[in-house]
Amino acid sequence: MKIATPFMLAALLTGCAATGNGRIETLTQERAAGMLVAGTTMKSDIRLALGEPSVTAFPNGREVWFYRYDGSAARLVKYVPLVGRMAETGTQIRELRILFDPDGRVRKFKLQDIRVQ
Amino acid sequence: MRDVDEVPYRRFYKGMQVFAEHRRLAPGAALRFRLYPRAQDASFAGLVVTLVAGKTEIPVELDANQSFTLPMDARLAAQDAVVMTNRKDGTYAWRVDIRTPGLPPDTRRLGDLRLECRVDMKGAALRRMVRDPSIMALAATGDPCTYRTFQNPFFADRPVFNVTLVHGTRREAIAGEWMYANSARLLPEAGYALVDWGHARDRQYIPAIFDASWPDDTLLEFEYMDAPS
Repeated sequence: MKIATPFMLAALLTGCAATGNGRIETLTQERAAGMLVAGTTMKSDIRLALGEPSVTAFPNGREVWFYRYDGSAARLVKYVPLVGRMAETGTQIRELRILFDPDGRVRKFKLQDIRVQ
Repeated sequence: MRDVDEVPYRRFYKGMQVFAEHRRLAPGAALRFRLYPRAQDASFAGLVVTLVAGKTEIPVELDANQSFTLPMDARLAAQDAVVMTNRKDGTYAWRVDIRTPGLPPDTRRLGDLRLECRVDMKGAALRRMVRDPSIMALAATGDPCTYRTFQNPFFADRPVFNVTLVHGTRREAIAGEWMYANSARLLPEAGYALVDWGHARDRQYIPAIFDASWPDDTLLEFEYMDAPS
């Protein structure tokens, strides 16, 4: 039986496959603006186009959806408390952030490349 | 114990001492304190704040943002004076409020936030948070505001959509992970008693105040949810 060596574990934890939502990797501002029309586009349209988001819901019915793409590394190590935050620092990610009004329509969006703090 | 949202004056007094000691972080700013909604039904209508020392009651003037100043008086601290509202305990989040005047609209200055953190952690202790022994030891011997692993949540003036740090040509947005308490998303609602942002997540953001590569004069630009795109 083979046993994972520390080297193998380290490789696993810092592996280099991209993570997140690959559909936003090549999304441009123009295409995003065409897809995400304020007051018109519904949640279901976006879910169909981009898949499942990470959702933050507020008591007033508004929601912010996040799609994130990290092309630099899988970095499973980021799930390790405290160490994870250190490991992810400086990582360049692409994030699509969408604000919905309580009626489920897009209010605004932001597509930006961010260096994780 | 009375069910009143109040804070001992001595904590504000300690905050004023720390502010005087570290004001180089925000040389043009004054020290104020501010109330934010904390309870789900928190309202500012009819709010009255009073400084009570024995039988003496001094009205505290609130500005339009529910911020206020207090006199710095060692006798009041020794007298066990209290800053009292006419609301139930836990209605408001009490925060240090330090703002350099003359900044562009919808911006804050990073040095002001750093000083707010320091005044709170090393003096006023207004923020509701789990102040476990390791954090308190850190606050006593060092400056937790400079530690990457210590999360410092701040409130925006209104529900916020995006925050960008700007210095010269360098611009970096705060990732969604550090907005809306998303990094603490596993905290159950029952845990909101331990923090002051539970029902105000749409204002919450965690800037990298620990990151010394951003100078104190760095500005944070806020895009609010209700602002046009």
